[in-house]
Amino acid sequence: MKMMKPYVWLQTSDDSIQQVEQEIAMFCPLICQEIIQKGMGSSKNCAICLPQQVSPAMLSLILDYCRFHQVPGRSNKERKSYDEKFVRIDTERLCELTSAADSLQLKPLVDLTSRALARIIEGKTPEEIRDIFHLPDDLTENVEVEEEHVDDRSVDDLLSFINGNDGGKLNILTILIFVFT
Amino acid sequence: MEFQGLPEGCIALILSRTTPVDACRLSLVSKLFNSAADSDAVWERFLPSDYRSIISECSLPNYPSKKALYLALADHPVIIDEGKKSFQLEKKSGKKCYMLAARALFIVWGDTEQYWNWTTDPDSRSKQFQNSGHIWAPANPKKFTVFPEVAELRDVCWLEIRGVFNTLTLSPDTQYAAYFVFKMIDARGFRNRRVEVSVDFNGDGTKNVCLDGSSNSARVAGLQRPSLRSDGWLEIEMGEFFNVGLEDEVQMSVKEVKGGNWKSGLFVEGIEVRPKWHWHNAA
Repeated sequence: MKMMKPYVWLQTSDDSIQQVEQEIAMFCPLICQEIIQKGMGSSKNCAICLPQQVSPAMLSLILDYCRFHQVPGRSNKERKSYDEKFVRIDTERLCELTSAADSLQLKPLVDLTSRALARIIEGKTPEEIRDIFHLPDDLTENVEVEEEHVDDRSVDDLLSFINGNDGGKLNILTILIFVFT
Repeated sequence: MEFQGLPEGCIALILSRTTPVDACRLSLVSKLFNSAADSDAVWERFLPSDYRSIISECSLPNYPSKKALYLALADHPVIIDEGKKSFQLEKKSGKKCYMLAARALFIVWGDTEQYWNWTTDPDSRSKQFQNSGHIWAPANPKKFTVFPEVAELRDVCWLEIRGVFNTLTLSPDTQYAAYFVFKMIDARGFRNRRVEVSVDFNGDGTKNVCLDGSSNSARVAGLQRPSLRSDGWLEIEMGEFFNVGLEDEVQMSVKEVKGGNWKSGLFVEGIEVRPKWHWHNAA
């Protein structure tokens, strides 16, 4: 029986192939499954095809993360401070990283980036969120109050309260803000 | 690559790390946000981790979603511990609130009929009570009593009420305050009188308050007065404490034993323990 190979071949979304330390790559459950269950990644010809969310830049970030946490004997304080610095990147890259980590099933990193993104979106209005993330307002056409099933009693009470506006998003927003005031 | 490239599961994960208020507000961002913001994955995380065991003895309706359950528990208290306590969620943060029923308090002379009487809420005697396990919508949501029984002070000189609460059941890392919940009906002996309230938790916290809001004497000038609750009862803050989350007990008391005068007409619903600074706690 052969020794575990120290390197594994990975193919990223741009079709480029790179060689990375197997020990590190195995941190990602998806890569681990490919290696163990399918015997993939042992050569350039049978490189593991990573999900399309994983660009070379993201892979490099993810491997940095795995490389740091793979070293045994680090204190919790060290890990925490590394994590804090690790997510100090722009919002777009944070999203990209979350998506990539999620596709590789790397849960600790998904948790980390989700928390960082949560801090960004907390307290902001839907408009601000759309601006930050360049999202279309695809809810506008649905001007039905039924869209939102908040506590029915409160909605009824509040509908009469704000009666005068004709249904729609503004009302839902008012209701939600009111319910929590 | 933009936010819309995130799978709904990831958006749900992100929203679950915010607050219930954020999740509701951000459900209006887009369809994907809307769907993620309503998901059980998000609201399960806003519910206290041990909510199942807390409400296990309640026969609640089958709520269609965790969000519906959350809102129900935030809107109305449920009775637990065989009617000795009620449980509710603080709506904005999902933190735990409890009320110790008068029956769960130690009341000096409480079992002597001549001094204390056990009765239903004096203001809603005609109302039907459900004595365990249901979230119910009272006919008049502005006025309701959680517990089937309240204590009515007939006449005492020595007024002493004490309660103990195990803080392990409260939300950790949270500033809490205890509130004495009561009513005054044809009350005697409280006007212009100081009443001592205390919350002892890692040290003594005693202060004087005035339970009768109409008091006007210099003797009680500057003392805290009761405020009207949305359920029609009065409350007065007894003190606060910070709950780290380790096992401990908080001792609470209401006392007027110095005046020596006769007192009557005080109705006690219980002592409520709830978070004090929601927004500082929310993180």
